Amino acid sequence: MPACTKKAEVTQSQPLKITVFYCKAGTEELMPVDYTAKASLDGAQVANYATDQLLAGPSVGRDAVALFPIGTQASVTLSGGTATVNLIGPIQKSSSVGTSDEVAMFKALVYTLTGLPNVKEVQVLVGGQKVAALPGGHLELDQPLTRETFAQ
Amino acid sequence: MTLRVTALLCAALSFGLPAATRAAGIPFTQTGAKVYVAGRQVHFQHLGVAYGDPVAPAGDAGLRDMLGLVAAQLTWQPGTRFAAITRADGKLVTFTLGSTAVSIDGTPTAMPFAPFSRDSDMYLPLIPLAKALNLGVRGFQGGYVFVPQILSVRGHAESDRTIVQMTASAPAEYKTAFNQRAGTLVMSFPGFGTDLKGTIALGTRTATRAAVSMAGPPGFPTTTVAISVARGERFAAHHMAGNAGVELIVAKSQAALRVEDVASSTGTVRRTERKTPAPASTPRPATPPPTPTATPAPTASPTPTQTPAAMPSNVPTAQPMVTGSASPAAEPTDNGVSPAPQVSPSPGDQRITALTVDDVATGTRITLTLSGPVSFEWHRLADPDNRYWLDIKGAVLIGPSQTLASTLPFIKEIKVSQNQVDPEHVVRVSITPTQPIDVAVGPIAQSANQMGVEIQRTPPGPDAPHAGIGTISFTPPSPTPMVRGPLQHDLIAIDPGHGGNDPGAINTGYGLVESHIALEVALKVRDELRHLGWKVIMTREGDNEVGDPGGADRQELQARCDVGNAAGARLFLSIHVNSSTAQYLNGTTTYYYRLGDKPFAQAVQAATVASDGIADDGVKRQAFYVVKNTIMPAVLVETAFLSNPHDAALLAQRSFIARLAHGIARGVMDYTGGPQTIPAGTQ
Repeated sequence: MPACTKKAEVTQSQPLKITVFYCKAGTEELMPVDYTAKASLDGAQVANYATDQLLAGPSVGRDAVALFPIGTQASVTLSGGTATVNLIGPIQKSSSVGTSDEVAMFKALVYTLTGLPNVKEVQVLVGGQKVAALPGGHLELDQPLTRETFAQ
Repeated sequence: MTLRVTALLCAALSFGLPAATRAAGIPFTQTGAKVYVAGRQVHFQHLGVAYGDPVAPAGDAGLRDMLGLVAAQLTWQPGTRFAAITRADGKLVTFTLGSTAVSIDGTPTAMPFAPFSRDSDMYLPLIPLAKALNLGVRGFQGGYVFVPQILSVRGHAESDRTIVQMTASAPAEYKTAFNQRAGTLVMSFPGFGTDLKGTIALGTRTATRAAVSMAGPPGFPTTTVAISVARGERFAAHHMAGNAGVELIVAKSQAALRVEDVASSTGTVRRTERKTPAPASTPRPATPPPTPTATPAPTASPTPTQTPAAMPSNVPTAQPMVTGSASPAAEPTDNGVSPAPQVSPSPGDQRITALTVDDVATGTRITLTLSGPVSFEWHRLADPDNRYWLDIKGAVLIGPSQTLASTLPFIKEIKVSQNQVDPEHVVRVSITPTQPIDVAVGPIAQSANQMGVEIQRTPPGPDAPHAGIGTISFTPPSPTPMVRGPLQHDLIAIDPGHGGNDPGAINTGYGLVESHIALEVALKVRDELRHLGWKVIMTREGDNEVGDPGGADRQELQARCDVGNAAGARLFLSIHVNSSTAQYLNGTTTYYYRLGDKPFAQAVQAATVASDGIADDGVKRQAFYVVKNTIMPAVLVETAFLSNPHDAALLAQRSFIARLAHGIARGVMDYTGGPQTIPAGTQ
């Protein structure tokens, strides 16, 4: 839509308000927390900034959590409408995460990244590779994840 | 969403409202300012000013009137943190209490201050709201004027015609006139402003450029688009999908003026009506009498002031003169089947070769047979409109558009048609209901190339999304080709989750290990089902991996699928134990992926919770590998939470394990009717 073009022009030279979604402890609900990305950052840098904030967990306590194993690191690249997230660290080892936390954790990642301008889907890599699922996991990661994946 | 989770959310909300307390400090004053929207005054009960800008409560009838004038819909309930507005073009705008970001079609945009809570209502800043709705904003002494805009003018050529699209931020009334001397078709939009200036190149041979100008008072301007067209062309204009603009078709032949599938969004198919332009000051009659004609138009009285171009005294070849109206009901509807669009697939396009509609347990299912993977996007308008549409991208419908019937009493019409031809082929499924509907979209079981669009009997929840995207892929990537054995009606595959070097979830306090419990339950299910006459194949019967112990996880999960696929099992049942960092989560959940597997999941879930006596966490749809990459109906049962003290204590009881197994086996029987029953749809 042409309206989108107009919007992009407006936001480009200004700091970008982004929303990082944490998990509301004990639910598959998300808890949005707003951050401001500096105007100097390009799209991929904003995406990495958002993912870093997600993995670092919320700065205010409350009942929000980041369910990714502590020490997990991510790097994000953007291509077309796809954000490709490479996860490394403890997450590469077999985890004892249950399906509820596993779904909530990826839902938070996908909501955070698809909330950024022009990002429609997220392809997860683990240790640089496309994988069927996390080690010991359940959710299929072969295919890009979208918000629809978590719409039930 | 289960009741339990909703209750948790509400509990979280009751203390999670920092904005409510902050609101005490908001410099709010009531104001008697006047607000005009699209040329009409809107009366608010509680219009106010905060930080110098106008604010209005979400519960104010004035706000709903304001949105109604631009065909937008508000969804808001007292006590919730979100106000969602569906724009005329179907895009969603959301405001969050205490957040200075307004989300426009998923993209956050900053605003000067956040919506706040006052007298149990949510106050929205009107200027950011108007901007999110693409309205022009003007202040004057004593009030504010919000002016709908013409947002873009674009042209594209098709094989036998040219389409010029003028998008607008509100349903546009328009007038059309032909200026013979200048060779321009002049479309004027009273009450609409624009940021577009000067001449826009349309890039097509028959409609070369559009000159855009704006005149009249700033509070009620008229935007005029003069489109230069080649001689000897015919025209037709109609409202675009969702009433978000006007589309002009320019073509040599009458047949090429066809309008495809506009009925899905506006109920409009305009072909050759002609009308003398009405004076701008006169309200347009609701139903202009269409005068089909093959003769030149009679003398048109010049339109005062609005149209800069001189009116022609007659219209030679360009005969269809068209008018627009904001009300779809006022327009003639083409109830017939649209002509088959002559669309040939481009490289990379998928073909939709067959369409069927069936009643299924959960509602009505539309089945589309596809030649390959596709992506899609769907939208649902807010109550009371409730229309739903699904666009399948890069797809070509083989055969004519079709109108399908549903036995659900609240479905008025289902249409499947080639909606967009250029630049990308899009097939649209549009559903017109009389109440809000919940639609599930996904692949269908046992059919490698069929996509299902399922209208659910049950309405969507209040927080259900209004738009979404997704993909349908039919060929799961697998390092080894999928092996499929002949179907055995009395064979079931049981998959105890995890095992070997992957213990799954662990509760050290109770000494519980997911892979051990899953195996214990699975072996008991196996025994019960054998007793009932089933043959059972297990992915594992000991504490071991199913694939190569040193292999990748893909191999491990695919190996489990292969066990069921290769044996030709009728059903696949994966048994797990859940775990969460939140200790209070408890209960049984059954997951499925393909829409067709939902009844299987429901049967297993119902029988299990009836037997095990713990909380019912419901059935959920999720892309878990083993339920997605098996070819028979497949479910994954999360029997209980070993992280929950109550569930963990139960899991430590042998009698509880037996009850779980009994319930799961009962669910298999309920779903199938027994091992000797031949499933429908097979020989």
